Amino acid sequence: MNRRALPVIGVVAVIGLGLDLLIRYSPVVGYGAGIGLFGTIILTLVAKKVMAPALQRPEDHYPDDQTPDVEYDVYGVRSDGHSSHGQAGDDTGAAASTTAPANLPDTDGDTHGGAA
Amino acid sequence: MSELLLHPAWPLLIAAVLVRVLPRRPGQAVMLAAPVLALAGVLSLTDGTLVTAPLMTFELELLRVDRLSTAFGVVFAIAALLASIYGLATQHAGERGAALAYAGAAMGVIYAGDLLTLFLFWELKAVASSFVILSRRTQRSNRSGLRYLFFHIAGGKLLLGGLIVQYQSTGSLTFEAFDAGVAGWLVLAAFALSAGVPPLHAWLKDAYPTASVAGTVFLSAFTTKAAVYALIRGFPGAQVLIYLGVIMATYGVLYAILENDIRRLLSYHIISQVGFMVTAVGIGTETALNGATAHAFAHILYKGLLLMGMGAVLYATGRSRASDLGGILNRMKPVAVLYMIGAVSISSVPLFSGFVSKELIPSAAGAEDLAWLVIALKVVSVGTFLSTGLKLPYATFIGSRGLGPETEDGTDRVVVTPVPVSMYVAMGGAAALNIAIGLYPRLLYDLMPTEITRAPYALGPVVEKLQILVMTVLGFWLLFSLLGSKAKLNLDLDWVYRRLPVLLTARGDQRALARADAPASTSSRAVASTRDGSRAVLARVFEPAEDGPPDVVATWALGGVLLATAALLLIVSLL
Repeated sequence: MNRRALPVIGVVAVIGLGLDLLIRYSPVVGYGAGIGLFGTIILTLVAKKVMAPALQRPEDHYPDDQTPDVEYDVYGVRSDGHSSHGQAGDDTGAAASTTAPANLPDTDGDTHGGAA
Repeated sequence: MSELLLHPAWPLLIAAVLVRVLPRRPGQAVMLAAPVLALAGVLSLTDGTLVTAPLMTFELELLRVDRLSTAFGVVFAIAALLASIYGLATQHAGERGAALAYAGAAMGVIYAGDLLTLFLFWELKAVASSFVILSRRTQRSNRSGLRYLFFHIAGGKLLLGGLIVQYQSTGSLTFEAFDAGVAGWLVLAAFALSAGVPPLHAWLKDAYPTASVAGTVFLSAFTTKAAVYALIRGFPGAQVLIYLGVIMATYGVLYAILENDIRRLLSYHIISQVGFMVTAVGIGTETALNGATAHAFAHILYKGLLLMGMGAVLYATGRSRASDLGGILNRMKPVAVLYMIGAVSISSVPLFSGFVSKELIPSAAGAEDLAWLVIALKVVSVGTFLSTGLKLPYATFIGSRGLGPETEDGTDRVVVTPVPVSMYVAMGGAAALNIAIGLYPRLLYDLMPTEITRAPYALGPVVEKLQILVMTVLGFWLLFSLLGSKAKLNLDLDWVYRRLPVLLTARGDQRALARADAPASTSSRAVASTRDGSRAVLARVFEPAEDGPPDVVATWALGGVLLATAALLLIVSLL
């Protein structure tokens, strides 16, 4: 949990409460802010703490469904530097058909990018 | 009868044949002209038009026009045009033909006035869409395409069964609201399968991400939305749909938070957003049905844009795992901007299309005093923004590698190749429509089945929505470390038919090995022989040889088609 977010959340919550009191649209004061914050927390915790341990498996769980690291059949440039699509050169521009990748994408499929 | 010539399905179906036989350039021109002609057909047909044709003892309603079919017709034609532009540089003739036939069949579904015409177009849609998936021509797309075909052929048989029972009990094949009964339940199951209602949804997340980049854009527009149209027509106010819709919306959004594949994540969001529409059909009031129609309309536009954006990333990088991406923002800024227009639209940000369409549904629920439903839908909307508006774009374009190099200098492990101009044009068109609808809601509202008087931009709803969105951003920041994309596969109900039989086969093999040393009687040898035979069948079905012929599932699917055809001919001849 990122504790630096807490004071910002507090300030925004106070502003939200003030707006609710002023506008008097929501059924309960803090309704919108509560749905946003607690909705995020509940959905994230259910997905990551309840579902993930039960449902997540290694990527090779279905032997016939392993996504290749680089899907060359839909990649605009093949490993030899040419367009992978017979018709792509028409409107892709010269770069697509002449620019060879300087370094081929590696085959490491276990890197973890994302928000982490 | 002359109106039949204006049927919007014709240009698409005729073009589907032409693009297969014409050279590439004329084929591309036909590919673009067909949706334009279909749109012209939609706009030239007037409400109340009904074209019938006799077929043996039936009076088929080949073309029935009202405001509902016109709303879907307009957006189907626009979606076909945008997807055709998007795929100009990448689709081969076979894929174009399948895509146009698919779009034409979907158009036929929404203008069908009777159940037999609906069934024929429904089956054509199933087969053509399967070929859209198979057109990618990889082993993975072949397998998932055949599983998709099998599911939809099964759905077609449910529809056929409902059609027969309906005709037997009422003597009519007119496609209108169903009463409770066997026919209603069979047809509801068929529509629910096609809409992706759990537990009949696994085909969607299995097949959509395995199609080509343009193929997935086509797929996102027609199958589930034609089912939503059919539900609006056949089951308005069916209360069970409220609960199914909420389950669907929640299910899809939770899986989307877990998902790592960029297009599978968006496929789960199709399930979630269609859940909103199904819920609205279940509520059944005028506002709710307008909401379902408006949301389907806008969803086709912004989901298409999102899938175009992620398809462009896949085209440019060759990578579809969020955990493998990141560090490409500086090299893909236009794609990121266009994607974000789709993301804020689906997240109901004011001034974009989702705010004027999706918000009609909680509003309809509130009017019926369904407070729990309003809260549930708003929480699901939070999940939508969290995964499509924050997690996915962050992981895809930025991730742990930051903004990445400004140019393709060869220093980054992800090599970004230029995206075709045609893809930008299609994404730009979809983005412009999402903004236009957000700025001028009347563009959408005036197309709806009944009049909408609601003014979406009142102060209260806008402030409440902004509070929800801002707090979602802050919640994302708070839980940042939890929301990373992991290179994992998430089990779903397709496990039941993809993995369970293999496990059962393996367990049977272990038992057979244990018995092998023991002396066996004649009867036990016979039993063992039968078991070995059944295991051999299972092995044939689920473990095809690496370079062998297509899966036996293909035989099932083919058998299903033949059986359906035979049954249909039998019924027609009997009647």
